[in-house]
Amino acid sequence: MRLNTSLDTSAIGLLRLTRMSVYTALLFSFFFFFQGDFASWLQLMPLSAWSPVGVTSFMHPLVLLLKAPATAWIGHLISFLFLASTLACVVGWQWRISSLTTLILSLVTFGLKNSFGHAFRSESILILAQFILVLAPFASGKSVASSFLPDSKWTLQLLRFLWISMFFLGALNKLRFSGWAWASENFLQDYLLANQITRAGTLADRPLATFAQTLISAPVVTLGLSYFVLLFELLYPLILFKRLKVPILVGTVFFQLATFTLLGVNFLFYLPLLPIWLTEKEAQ
Amino acid sequence: MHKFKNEIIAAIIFLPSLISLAIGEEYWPFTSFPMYSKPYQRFEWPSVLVRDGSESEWQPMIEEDCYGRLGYVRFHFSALRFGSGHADTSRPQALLDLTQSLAQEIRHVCPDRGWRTMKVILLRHDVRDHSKASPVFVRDLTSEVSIAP
Repeated sequence: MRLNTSLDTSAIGLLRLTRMSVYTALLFSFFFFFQGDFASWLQLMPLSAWSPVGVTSFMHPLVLLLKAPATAWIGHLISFLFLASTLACVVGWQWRISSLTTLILSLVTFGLKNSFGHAFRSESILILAQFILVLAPFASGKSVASSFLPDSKWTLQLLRFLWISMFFLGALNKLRFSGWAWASENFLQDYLLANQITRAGTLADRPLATFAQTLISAPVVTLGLSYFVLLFELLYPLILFKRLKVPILVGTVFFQLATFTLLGVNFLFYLPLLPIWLTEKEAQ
Repeated sequence: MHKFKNEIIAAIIFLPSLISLAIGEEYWPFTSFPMYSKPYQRFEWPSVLVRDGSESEWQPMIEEDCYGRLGYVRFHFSALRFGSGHADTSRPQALLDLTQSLAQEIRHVCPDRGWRTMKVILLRHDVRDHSKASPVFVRDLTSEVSIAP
């Protein structure tokens, strides 16, 4: 018997790989943010600090319920259900019900996390990807609803559009709020300085701060980087051209690593979506 | 049947982001891109100070690990929001409650540091004034909170 170790690069094969990667990352982020226990994290957060954001605006009764001593067990139930359904999503078991459950519980858990402190950017791509993956044709079925769902190729394309939109809309927002002054007035230098100061209370002598200071003290370098960042994001749709895909993806990894290390913003949760960019085998 | 189903699905998924871009407001989880879009000029930032005893010097709590599940950035966002000068009298209490939660988390995550008390202060810095490397103290945001069990 021969073991088939080759990668299935058909559209549905890439979707399966993306599914495993995204939901594994979701499990990781649950342990990263809540140490795997949503209920005790919630008990740590004072009710007075509840401040809903986005879709969580209507969740106040749920917060009261979860924080009440008599019904605090519901928080443990949510933790358990989230872990079970996300694990089911990784392996693709009972796809429609498990993916919908994970999506709803992701909105509850990560939504409440963000509503107890507005810093809600790092894992949002994993949530948005779920809105698309939940429609993916992993489950068999001939219902009317199933016939409305997109095919594998289009689902993969939607995920690619989502990835591109995160960068492209980032550039459009910079232009919307600040225009080209975002680059020409060297905002990046200010962001670096502000971030390094707020991390330590002063320009402390840490390895990354030292490197950041080197950049800050060379305005021409940060000016060049500012234009590079804005143009990189603005021209991101060029990734759809075959020849530019790999260079742009390599640039993206460095881009996110630099954002994480120098600006302290963790966008590394984009990386689990990388399988969507593998070259898709044409259907026979 | 469902001739435009793919386009309809794409519109449903991407429309919130485009609306958000048009109105210039974030709406979690559909928008994450306005970050670092606006200029910094002068900005205010809360800082957590800790000390070993009532006579010792206050020092900034630099270790981000000690924020535990509250998260460094998340705590500072909340502290800034609740500590800024609004008339709502519940906000200082919210910040004090949150600081007590942080004290509880420090006891759990960094018990070996020997810190006894902590407080949150507000700092100000003008990023366009490159002659000043350190921020200026504005005011205390909380009273002293005990870390020791």
